[in-house]
Amino acid sequence: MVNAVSLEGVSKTYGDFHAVRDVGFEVPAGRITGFLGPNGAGKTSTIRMILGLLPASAGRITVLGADDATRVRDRIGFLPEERGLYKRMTPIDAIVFFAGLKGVPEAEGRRRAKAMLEAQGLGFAMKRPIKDLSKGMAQKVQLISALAHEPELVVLDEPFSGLDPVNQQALEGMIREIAARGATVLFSTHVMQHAERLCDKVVLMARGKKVFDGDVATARRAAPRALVLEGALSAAEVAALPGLGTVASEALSDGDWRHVAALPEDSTGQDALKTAFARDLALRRFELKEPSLHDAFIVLTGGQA
Amino acid sequence: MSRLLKIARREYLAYVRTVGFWLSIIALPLVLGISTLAPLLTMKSAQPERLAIVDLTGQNLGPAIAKTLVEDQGRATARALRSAALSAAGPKAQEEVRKAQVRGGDAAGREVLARYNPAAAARFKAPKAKTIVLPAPAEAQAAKTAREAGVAARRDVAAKRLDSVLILSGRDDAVVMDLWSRNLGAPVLENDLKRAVGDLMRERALTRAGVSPQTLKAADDLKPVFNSLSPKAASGEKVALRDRLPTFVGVVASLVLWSMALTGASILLNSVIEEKSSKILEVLLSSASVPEIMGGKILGVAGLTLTVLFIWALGGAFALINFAPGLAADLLAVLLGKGLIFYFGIYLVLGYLMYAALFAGIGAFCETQRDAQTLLGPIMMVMAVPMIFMGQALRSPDAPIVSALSWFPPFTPFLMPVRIASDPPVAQVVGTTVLMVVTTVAIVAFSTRAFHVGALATGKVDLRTLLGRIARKQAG
Repeated sequence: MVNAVSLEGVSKTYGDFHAVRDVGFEVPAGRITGFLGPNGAGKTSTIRMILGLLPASAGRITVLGADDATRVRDRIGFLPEERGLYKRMTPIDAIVFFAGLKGVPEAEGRRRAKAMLEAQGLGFAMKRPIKDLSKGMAQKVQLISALAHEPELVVLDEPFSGLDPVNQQALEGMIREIAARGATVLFSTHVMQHAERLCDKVVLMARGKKVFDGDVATARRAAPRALVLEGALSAAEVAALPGLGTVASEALSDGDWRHVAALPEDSTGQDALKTAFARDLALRRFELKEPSLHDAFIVLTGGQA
Repeated sequence: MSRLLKIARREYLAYVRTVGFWLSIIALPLVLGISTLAPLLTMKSAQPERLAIVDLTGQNLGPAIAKTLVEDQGRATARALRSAALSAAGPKAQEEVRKAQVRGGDAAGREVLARYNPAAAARFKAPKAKTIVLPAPAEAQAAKTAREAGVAARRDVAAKRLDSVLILSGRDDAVVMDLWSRNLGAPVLENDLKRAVGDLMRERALTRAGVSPQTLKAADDLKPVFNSLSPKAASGEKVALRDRLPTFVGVVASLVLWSMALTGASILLNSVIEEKSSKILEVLLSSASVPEIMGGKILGVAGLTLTVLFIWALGGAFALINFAPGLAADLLAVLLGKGLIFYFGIYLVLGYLMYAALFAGIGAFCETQRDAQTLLGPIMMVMAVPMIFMGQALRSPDAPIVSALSWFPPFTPFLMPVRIASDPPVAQVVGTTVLMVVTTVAIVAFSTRAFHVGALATGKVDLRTLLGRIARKQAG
């Protein structure tokens, strides 16, 4: 199977409101795909349609070869955006229960739960009520609950939200481990840095529409590279340098200026730098800045998220 | 094990492992026990009323009143013995005890009871005397007028030397009774004394009119022979306690069904609200279908209510077999003989299912108890109606209003158990049951849809919004 998930012309409307409009993309099997966009972009609605929790108003969705995800729900692991567990249950019982719903026998579920909790450093807490765990620990327990049945497709809705930097890093590690064992990961986020570090492929959404679908490097190319110049030089002096596009300038606290000049596709910035030195401009610092996914997103959405 | 059963098991264990669940099981019998035993204990621990009688009528009424009070006590003892015989050994034993009492007094009655149930006979204690008559203090006794006697009586009562002092004044057919009492009125004593003095006044007036004491005694003993008859009685005519028992059993069953349906549905509502507010519902939906989730939850909570019922039934049966075996046998005969237990089972299942599904559907839209209260208000009002008419149903199970209300499916599970004991027409039993089954199926279907819509819905929901969302889901 090439694609774990495939969407064609999918739309979702709630009354007069169009949450998702004519969206189509594929999630390659065995890869990590980021589903990116700001809040309200239609990510959660799309994920719910992929999982079969919501019917699509139009279009076709295929998940693990099935037209209806509910037929293959035992092969899918899901972590919702807002997370919670039964507070009076212990982590081990919660994991066994959710794995059981996915068809894992109780004894096997218990064995896996124990191993996974210990691997995540939660062995000491496996028999404590979940209400006594910290938020980060509870979130790990919930992620383990979504993974204990060893799903082929793992769908994570905003998995990093609410986590501190240390736990975010730990979660990135867990996502890489899931992919390393051959599972497909689709995760949504509005924080582009996570996607840049983790994803083989990204799908960008804005206002219910898909604005980009491809690998991270291609997405970045949607935004121009830039030459950053700092020093006691004016915007007019920078604009007069060869091989530069539009220039954005800002005053720095020490009286100097910071100019960010877009580089056209055929420009390396070398000509501009040589000319600046030749003209003996008061240049204190320069930097060739590659575009980030965030820059690409701004360009792709026209700055209207 | 299927997903439905796994969800049911989790639901069951989540509650059955809590201390609150076991406390709630103990709570109702405890409250019932206390409310039953409290008056008995109060009566047992109460000291007899110390009464003195000051008779200024010159007719020597005091000793006659004291004699009447002692006779009242004797009658109370005889009644208590017959009641004990009924509880311990049934109506036949009660009748035998009564006959023995007529022949040889309470001692003979007790011997008969011992033949039926030695433990009950050994356990039996005559009720305490309510009143003992003491000689009036000298000062009150020496009083010439009711006023003087009143001053002395007031002093004696205030000083707690006596609980009550009765001052009789006036003449012949115009006796005046002044009762000084420590309490602000003593209604039982007042009634006993009014009746005793009234009887004496009538007796003496008739004697003065020339009626002989023999005639008076004969007139006193006159009592009609009363027969309660009904074509619905087991004998075909004479109504026995066992004939009346089914209606009482129906009322008790109805109250139990009502409380079970309400308690079960409320547990379910709270459980769904917890899952909705903590977003567990979304994970469950990705793991199981809505019918599996709802069915599992309804089944799990049904298990809880059945556990409660089973424990209560076991406790009740133990208490009845040990303390009122006659009543236990009659109850069993009533429950099995008329097939009441079968009907109660049907009404319990359908009533619970109807309200549990509805509460679960509503719960899926609520993130807090406050949200739920807004939506549940109308349903709670509907559920209160059968309870309002329960008294009427007990007095007259076939009354037109009770009969009409029992056709309304939300009321059927609670009113039909009372009516079923009075053998309503078969068409009514079948008709109301079919209507209830159809309504339950419709409510379960509607609630399943509501559950799916509500589980993923966000924001505050009122009744109008809820119905709108369900309608859109239906259209979509």
